[in-house]
Amino acid sequence: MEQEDFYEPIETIHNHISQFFGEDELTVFQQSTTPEGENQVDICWIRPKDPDLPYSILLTIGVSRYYQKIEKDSKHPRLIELAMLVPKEWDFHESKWDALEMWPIHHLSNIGKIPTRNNIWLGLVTPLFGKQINPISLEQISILLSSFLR
Amino acid sequence: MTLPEIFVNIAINDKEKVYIFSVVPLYPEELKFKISNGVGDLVEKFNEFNIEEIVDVDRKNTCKNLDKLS
Repeated sequence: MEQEDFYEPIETIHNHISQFFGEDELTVFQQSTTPEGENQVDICWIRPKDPDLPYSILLTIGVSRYYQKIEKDSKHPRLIELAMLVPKEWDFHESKWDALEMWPIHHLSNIGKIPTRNNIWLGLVTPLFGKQINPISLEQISILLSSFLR
Repeated sequence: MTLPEIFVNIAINDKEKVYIFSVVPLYPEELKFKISNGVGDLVEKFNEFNIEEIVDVDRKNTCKNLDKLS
């Protein structure tokens, strides 16, 4: 898989996040090894200090390394990243990488690889049928992508 | 409950933007409902039940008894 050479997401997205949050609010979980031919999708865990925000944000970094393969005239975004809002008290740490509570990190990273792995594109409301994506809430097995419900 | 518009649009140059999509876990019944009725109706259900975007592993299933009603 050839990388698009127009843009490197890590620096750009980090700069973007830095406009809103301080370095001490950010933790990045990096994929240690990426199999050949697979896109690297890291996850930035943003813990806002603002007490009015009852969530923390998990944001992918790397999905936008490749254009989504959509038709030229389509209005669907060709470049995307994914976010998931999780309760503020949820805690993630590299030392418990394989622990059950790390599922949102793995989950988001896996969804982020779908466009390149399966050669499909993710749109505003693409429902994905999950097999084993959420070991904690077993009943919530599907995923809806939306541009933030309004 | 939403992230600011300015946060979910990342301009990478004069022409291109990266859009941030929110990932929302669904119950199978909700997915079925979305496929039959469209996302607008599902969002209405979410509003009706006050479902927010923050992941809640115990949240109400907004379409649980729909099969029985129809």
